[in-house]
Amino acid sequence: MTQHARRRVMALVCAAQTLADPNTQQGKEIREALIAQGPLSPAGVNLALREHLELHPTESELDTLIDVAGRAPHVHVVLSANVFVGALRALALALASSTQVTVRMSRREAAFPRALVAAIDDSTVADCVSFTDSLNPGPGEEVHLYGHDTTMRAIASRLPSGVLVRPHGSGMGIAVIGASADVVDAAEAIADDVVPFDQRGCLSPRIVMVEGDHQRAIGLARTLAEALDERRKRVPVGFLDPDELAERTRFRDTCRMIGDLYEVGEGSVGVARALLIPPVGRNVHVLSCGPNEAAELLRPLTRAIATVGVAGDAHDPLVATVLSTLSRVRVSPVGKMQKPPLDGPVDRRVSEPVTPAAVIGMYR
Amino acid sequence: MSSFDVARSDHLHDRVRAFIDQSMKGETPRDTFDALAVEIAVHQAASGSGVERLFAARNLEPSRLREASSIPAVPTDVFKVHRVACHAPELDRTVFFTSGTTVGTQGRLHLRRTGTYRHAARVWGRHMLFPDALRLHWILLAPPYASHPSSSLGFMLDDFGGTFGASVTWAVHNDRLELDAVLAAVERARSDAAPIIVAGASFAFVHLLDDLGTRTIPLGERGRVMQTGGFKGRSREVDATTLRRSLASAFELPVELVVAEYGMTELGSQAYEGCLRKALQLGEPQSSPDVFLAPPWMRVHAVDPVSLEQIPPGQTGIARIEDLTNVDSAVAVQTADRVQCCEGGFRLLGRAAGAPPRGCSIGVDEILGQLSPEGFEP
Repeated sequence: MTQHARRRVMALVCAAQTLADPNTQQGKEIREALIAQGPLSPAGVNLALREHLELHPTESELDTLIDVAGRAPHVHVVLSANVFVGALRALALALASSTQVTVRMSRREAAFPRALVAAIDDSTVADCVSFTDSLNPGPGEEVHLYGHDTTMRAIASRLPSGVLVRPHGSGMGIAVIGASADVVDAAEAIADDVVPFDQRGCLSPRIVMVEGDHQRAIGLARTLAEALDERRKRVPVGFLDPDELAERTRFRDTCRMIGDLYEVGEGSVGVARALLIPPVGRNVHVLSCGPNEAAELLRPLTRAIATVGVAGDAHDPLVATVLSTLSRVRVSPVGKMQKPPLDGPVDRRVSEPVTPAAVIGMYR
Repeated sequence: MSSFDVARSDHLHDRVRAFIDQSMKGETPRDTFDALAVEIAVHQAASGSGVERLFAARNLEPSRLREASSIPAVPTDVFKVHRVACHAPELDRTVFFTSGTTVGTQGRLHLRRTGTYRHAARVWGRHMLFPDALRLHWILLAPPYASHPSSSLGFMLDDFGGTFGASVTWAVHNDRLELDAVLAAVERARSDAAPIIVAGASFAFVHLLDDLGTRTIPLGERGRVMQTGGFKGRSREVDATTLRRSLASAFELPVELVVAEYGMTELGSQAYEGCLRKALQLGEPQSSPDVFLAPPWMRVHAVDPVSLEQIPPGQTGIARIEDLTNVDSAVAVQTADRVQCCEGGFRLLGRAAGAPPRGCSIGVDEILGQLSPEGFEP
């Protein structure tokens, strides 16, 4: 059984390799489609395909993925928009779980899932997947739900009883810089986590907590701004809509008034002693804090944080506190936050399938 | 070097009160709005409240400004994470808190002197809500101010009741609306000549409507309602038009006597719809129920949400507010409330909802849980 699941997952991974390769016909076509679709810049699309698809999972990672996926007679996948590479992991989990997978895509991001399934060489695997505009699961079947919290609630409220749901709501990442970390190295690594998808993924760091004094935070912010500036020349920011730009204006003026702001083209790095939530579009808030303060600041954000990037030692007081406060998140070294191994969902906030009623309660 | 000059602040408070009185008497104020706003901004920049950093970021020298519209506006977000006050905490007379929480924090307005706030609220409240009566029976759909002294709405209603009240009934206790208290208060007041006013937050009115069902509470010919919007998850949401009609029906009033207020904790002044004055034939130029009128000491501009540049009347922008009563905090405040300026006032279109959901990245508003208009008080 596991071998069949592994074969299905690997067929999908091979299809992803085909799309990631800019020299294949499929690789060229998907690039054109994704650039036309937006909002990422052409370089942003290429970066995502080349660096942020999980193209070489280890045996151990596949074992874990198949184990985590469990078994279901039929999996219905509801995909979100924009972080298009997420479709690989979502479909891998579904195919690991079942031979019958029905996919409902976001209207704003239909190109990649279709191209991915079309690129599967093994027709017995490709035939496991069908696309639909509706969602009609039956009792005992699973729904793998990706998207915003409002989507979680809306869809769960329409599901019949007996259906099980694996919800993966919206989120964001934070980075924690322990006392033992080198701030220059950390800043360079964080820049690598901020650039992909222009921060539209739930793994993207938006807040950086720095152990130590304010000057250490300033030092990291300056280096991060320089690193982001260097990267934006290679990978320009894509399209930002007016609402995102308006949020950026507010974030920038807030930082200017209560702290320091480093503008980096379309993005910015703000340093302030209070906790701010920057908007997407390569905006980062850096603050210095101690362990007790961090625990207090993070408490209201617990549900929103999907991942933590760490620089420094796990025994650094700030790192240890953050990881104990946020126990159900994916933890990665900074620089690898956007490259999680293919070993299960990126979001670990809900580990087991739950009833639709439970989903409504979770995302109320 | 920054410092707080008490004498200068007191002098500015006095001049703002004079501006209020002179403008309401139809006199030409000794200070122009722009000159007074700029002087207040200079005072605020000199005190080191943080606004001086916005001046510096825009390469502006406060003392060289001539127009209020050039003063950098402090985003309302800042009030949630930073003390926006010229004076030291030990000089705080009152601190008002916003009702919504933002990642565990609340917006605050620190007042050293409450007299200017109180005076402005009384003068404009009287002008817009009860120009025809010296005393009213106040039925307040809010918890007693004494038990919630951090509510700016409670402060204002308490003052209205104390100053202009034939009677005062607070109808929310232990977070529950007491319908029986409302009914009893109306019954007691109905035989008296003074009009009845029911005032409170929109969500409290929704609870009242739910409790009433098909029953009505006639307020009498001179009755009226003042509601300040926003639901904040405290009741079901009802659109403004439906709420206005439902309240008019429930209190057996013409819809023109249901007046909405626009205010926020971060501001010392309030705007009201002009419909009641029009109904009383007091001749406001704008009387459409959805047009808010700001007092002469408060200006509301629609600005582009990205550039913060002022935009022409009729176009939708976000509200930038200049309020002379904010002597010791921020005379110019940048909200995220969407507005259209029009002749005589402005239309409120709700809060900018933030960036639309994209991908699985969480939106700022989603985190903050503040999709309802921020301009509405508890």
